[in-house]
Amino acid sequence: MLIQLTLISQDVFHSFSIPAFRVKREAIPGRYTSVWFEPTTPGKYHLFCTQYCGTNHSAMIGDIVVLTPEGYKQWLAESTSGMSLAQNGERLFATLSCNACHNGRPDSRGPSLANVFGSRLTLANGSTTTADEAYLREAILNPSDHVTQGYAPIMPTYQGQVSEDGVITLVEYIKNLHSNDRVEQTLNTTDLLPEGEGKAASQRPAGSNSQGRIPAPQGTVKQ
Amino acid sequence: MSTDTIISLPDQSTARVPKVNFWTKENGVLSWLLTGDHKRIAMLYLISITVFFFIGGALAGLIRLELLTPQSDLMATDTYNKVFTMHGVIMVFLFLVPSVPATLGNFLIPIMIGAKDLALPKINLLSWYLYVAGGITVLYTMISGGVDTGWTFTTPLSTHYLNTNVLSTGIAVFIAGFSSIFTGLNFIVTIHKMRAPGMTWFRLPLFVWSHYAASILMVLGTPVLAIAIVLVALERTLGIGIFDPAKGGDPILFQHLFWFYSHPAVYIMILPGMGVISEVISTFSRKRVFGYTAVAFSSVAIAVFGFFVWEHHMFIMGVSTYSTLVFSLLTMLVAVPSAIKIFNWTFTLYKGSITFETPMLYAFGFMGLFTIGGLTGVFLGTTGTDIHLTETYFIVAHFHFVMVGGMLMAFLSGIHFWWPKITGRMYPEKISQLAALVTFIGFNFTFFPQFILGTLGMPRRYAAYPAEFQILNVFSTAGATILGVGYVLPLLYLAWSLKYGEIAGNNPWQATGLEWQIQSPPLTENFVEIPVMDHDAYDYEWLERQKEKEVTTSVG
Repeated sequence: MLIQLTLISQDVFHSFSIPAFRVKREAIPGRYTSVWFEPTTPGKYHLFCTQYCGTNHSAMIGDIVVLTPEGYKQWLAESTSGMSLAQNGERLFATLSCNACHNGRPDSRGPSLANVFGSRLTLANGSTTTADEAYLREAILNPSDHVTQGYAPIMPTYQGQVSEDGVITLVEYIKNLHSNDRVEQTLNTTDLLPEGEGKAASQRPAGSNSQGRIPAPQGTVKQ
Repeated sequence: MSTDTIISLPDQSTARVPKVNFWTKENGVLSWLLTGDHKRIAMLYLISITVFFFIGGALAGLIRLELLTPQSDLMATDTYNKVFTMHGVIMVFLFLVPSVPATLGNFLIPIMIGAKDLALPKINLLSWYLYVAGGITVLYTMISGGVDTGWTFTTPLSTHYLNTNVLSTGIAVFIAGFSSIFTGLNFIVTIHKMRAPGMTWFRLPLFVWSHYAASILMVLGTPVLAIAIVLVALERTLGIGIFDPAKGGDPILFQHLFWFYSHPAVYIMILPGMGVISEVISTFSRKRVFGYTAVAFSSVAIAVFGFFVWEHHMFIMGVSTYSTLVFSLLTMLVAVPSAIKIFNWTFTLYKGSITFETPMLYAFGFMGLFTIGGLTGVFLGTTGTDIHLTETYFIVAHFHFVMVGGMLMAFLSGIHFWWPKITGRMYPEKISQLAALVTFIGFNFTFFPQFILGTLGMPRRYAAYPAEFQILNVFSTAGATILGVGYVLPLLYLAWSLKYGEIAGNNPWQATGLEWQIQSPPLTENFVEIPVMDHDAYDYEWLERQKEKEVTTSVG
């Protein structure tokens, strides 16, 4: 199973490195980078931050645990967190009352977000752009620079109000949003579990608190 | 020595060091501190960079000691971070950049081109004072609490997150940078305007060519570093936001600015060393340097290409894939002129009458280690392998092979080679050959295991590391102690030889360079009368004819 990660840092440069998988990518403040890998053998692998990031740089390590599909299901069942990024994003979306405007109703003050990910947008200034992750993040943090054509620039900025953690969950939620039915419903998010997706998104643990298990969902095992 | 030696010393029972020379011309501290003589300034530089080399070396020893065990037990992690930062800052800005140019280059370039001094003697002295000011600022930084940015000053770590002495380090690097700019400027003007009659560009020793190329890099590259450092200082104090994404800035911009200097800086460090090797290889093979023009132009080519490869430090930093392809290709291209040099030196050896005096041993060390350093650079310039190898001990080993195995070997080779000219006395041959061997063995013991550590994935700048990497780190630390002996030995016996070394005479190596045709140590004016050059730099037949006539310009 391919794992694709979107990385961003909320403080300094870090670098996400799994030597055994030959992958390494910098986590950069202010922009998304992305890295992918395909784990093939279950086991435990080193995860290092390889860009010098301050006093506890050498403590910014972790393990990548690759499990068989059965093992992963079991781990998931025992896990106490159990929330995917998109689920967290949906919760945050509701908490911030984003759905007050982005609800897909004909009279809504904000554009519908269903299937917005990957689509071509025409902005108020006449330019067109593709709504990728970086665009969605920018639109949340600097909405006045990213007004979709036909809408008024009334969205407040969420710069400083939502952490990078929060932004990445919101983006993940919007990426997985294919209809507006769900936007105003109570939370029922089981079909957003990463198990069902072709790819899962995770996030660079930015900051010093980075120890611990980072589970990597595992699909097929070639043996 | 056995029969395979070229050393020709005068009869020691009657030989005297000339009474009048640049050491004895004037006495007193002020005559040194206010001197305009390029040779005295070179000696001032030699003393000061030696001090900083051993400070930086001691810090390296601390790093290796800490890494002896997987835990962070000798020092706290932030102490470790400060130690490797100071090691980098001191070694790069206060040793490697000025090492050969400011000492040997300063001493030899005017003599090699047949001039009485550099074009701008006061600027030369000013550059030493700036160097000392920069050095003292670094020492102040170290004593008053240190700095832990790493020598790369990566933003936003350096601008927003560290409470250590980033500003004073920045000021130190800024000041030391101007020292380097002035040295480069002086060399360029001197080489253009002060050549003796008949000293055409293609009769210049290759030492001068490589310094010319390095000087261009110093003059064009260092101001960019100065700008980057000033921007870091402004960002840190005033928060101008040029590197801060929250204010519309871009942290990647700092990487571009920093590496635009700091990659060419690598060539500032290595090119003068290559100049030393050309002289030494030619002298101890008794042959012209093979492909003189190719070697001369390869120095210039390195200087030109050196400016267009900086982004290979940033392949995994989210720069566009297409630009990584371009920069990867350009990086491969810069390996070509370096390879030209290595091949030409090898061909110079071919059918030469090779002897194995200490400078030659160091030069052989250079050729082997620099080649490994250069080739592993191609691994890192290849976008695919770079992903795995960058930011690990592989890259640490790579640049230590180039900088320590290459540049430091060249520096020691040059110091031994020109020691008789500088001091008028020989260094003790046997023990110095031993020192060269110890250095070579110690070096490989220290840094070769780091290539393996890097391929296994051990990240650099880690105070603590997973236990499975320990055995190779123990090897590396053990090697570092051998290497330390290899560096302390020359300090001791060269100091000893100042008083007890054998009298060297004008030309102990029977070399062709102009510097060997004047007395040792030289007069303050270098030449009694300005020489007229009627042969090329490595003309050994000319030297034979010259010896028949036995002209000596020794005075007193």
